[in-house]
Amino acid sequence: MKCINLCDILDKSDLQGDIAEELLQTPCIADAGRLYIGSYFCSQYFLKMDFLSEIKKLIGQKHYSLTLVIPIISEKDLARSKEQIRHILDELPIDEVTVNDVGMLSALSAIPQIKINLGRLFFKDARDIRLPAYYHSTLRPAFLDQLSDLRSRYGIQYAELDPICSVMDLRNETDVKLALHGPFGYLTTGNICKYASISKDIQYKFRPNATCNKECQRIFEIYAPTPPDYELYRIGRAVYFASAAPETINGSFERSIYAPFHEMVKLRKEGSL
Amino acid sequence: MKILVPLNHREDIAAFSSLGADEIYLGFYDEKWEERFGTYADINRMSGFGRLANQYSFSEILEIIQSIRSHNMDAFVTMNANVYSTEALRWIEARYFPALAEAGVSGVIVSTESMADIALKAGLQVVASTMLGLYNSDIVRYYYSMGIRRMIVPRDLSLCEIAMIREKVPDIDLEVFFMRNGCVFSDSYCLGTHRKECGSTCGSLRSLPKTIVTSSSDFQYRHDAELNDLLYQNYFHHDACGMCALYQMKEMGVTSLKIVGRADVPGSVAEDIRITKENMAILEQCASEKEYLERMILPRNSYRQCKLGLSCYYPEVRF
Repeated sequence: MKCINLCDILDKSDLQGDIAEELLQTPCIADAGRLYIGSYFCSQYFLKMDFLSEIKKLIGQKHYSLTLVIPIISEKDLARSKEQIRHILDELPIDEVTVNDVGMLSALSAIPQIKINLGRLFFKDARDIRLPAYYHSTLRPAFLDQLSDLRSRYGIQYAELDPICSVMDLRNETDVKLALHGPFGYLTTGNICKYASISKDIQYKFRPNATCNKECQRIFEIYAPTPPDYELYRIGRAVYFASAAPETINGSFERSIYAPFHEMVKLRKEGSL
Repeated sequence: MKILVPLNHREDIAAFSSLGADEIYLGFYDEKWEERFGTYADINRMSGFGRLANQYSFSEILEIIQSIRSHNMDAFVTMNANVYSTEALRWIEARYFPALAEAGVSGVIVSTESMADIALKAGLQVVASTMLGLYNSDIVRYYYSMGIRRMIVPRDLSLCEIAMIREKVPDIDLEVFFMRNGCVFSDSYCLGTHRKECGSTCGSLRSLPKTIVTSSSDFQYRHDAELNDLLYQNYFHHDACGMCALYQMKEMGVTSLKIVGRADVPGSVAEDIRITKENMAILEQCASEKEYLERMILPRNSYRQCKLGLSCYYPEVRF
């Protein structure tokens, strides 16, 4: 099953104009049945999600299922984020939630009607496209060994993985289904947002989890060595590597979670931005 | 408050003790582990830097732990790699933990729930590594309920947030980052390797050719974005210091001040211990934060370091 990951990149203006609709008609995306909204990496973005009525209208027209992704929330935003989660669950027909930390996993697993996924921040096996010997190898993620315990305690539905190597051995002793992110693997992130500091005076730059104006919706960076053996992208608070989907052995991914970042950028350039 | 320091040369134990360090942490290498689990399976977060950050074998650190304890300091061993397979955990449970307990280790610094579980079963004191991503009180409570009492909070949390966590979960020993080596990303969620052959991810990002793409053609916006980038690249957290936050740390009941730098030269770690100890003595004589900030000793390289908060762990104290 193909899912579209709009986390961290969807802006209200995309929904008010035609961009989101056009995006979802793009050939490689049009067959998707589920949208992921929210954030993997940023509680500021999560708190500023102000497009609930627009997304409700969109999924009503297109009949998408909806997954809410909740980032790791820094302490100062914890109470407000819990209110935001309640608000979103009340407003939208969310049938599953992706969590990224044990605190939120513990809290949300108590809600019986919500299915829980383990987000990509639970998947902490090393990934490094700068190391060809590692990236072009066959690996069985050690993370898969953790699923049994988490499944028995929290009833996990899906676990989300990144494409960390060319061949992934998915031997898995549980019935937890596996999902794969693409076309980017996540490499690193942090509580300090470079882009949020653009308009701040020097002495206030680079503070942890600082408030922002969603500068991440107007800027990103591409890094590539010479010759360009690989590409890294800084999008919002996270850095990603471009990666093809790996081959799999001893199992397969039952869901692909596709981030249409390039498509979104192309449409924004042609459209209102 | 205690001073916790890294050890990479056993001959520094006596000097660190005499300067005022209370606790030492260290890692180790094990050739048999490497043979069994391969070169990319880390024992701890710094295994990728090889002997540069892990000078001693497992059998050697058992002796070193006893030496540290004989100097009346606590000794903590780092077992804080990103992730461990079940087989690796069984290896650790069978080969490392009983011997560490026997040697009198004060605790193990762990990065996964499974590791914490086997360490607690082995009767070891467990320290929740910054690798566990303790960004809020719900996460701290989760690990507290497992039986972990000492927690290292991330270096990308503000003082206010650390204080809020402390208030909500009061019955913990709180360890905070204090001196050296600021990170620009999260310790816990920076999943690129840290290895000799490629360095760290942030190091690569500083040196790789880069294209900044913006949706705005406005000159001022591009100027501000590029200036921001220059400051981030060249000045932000090349080093880090939390000395000005000492008063607030005492007020919130911090247990331990962490000086990092397992691969750094011992002389500079020693200098950090010395100045921290002197400032702790000054702190004891101060009735207010204002007085402490007026009287405290600045770090030796303050001419470069103390500018605009860019090398501060907790810039909000001064800026």
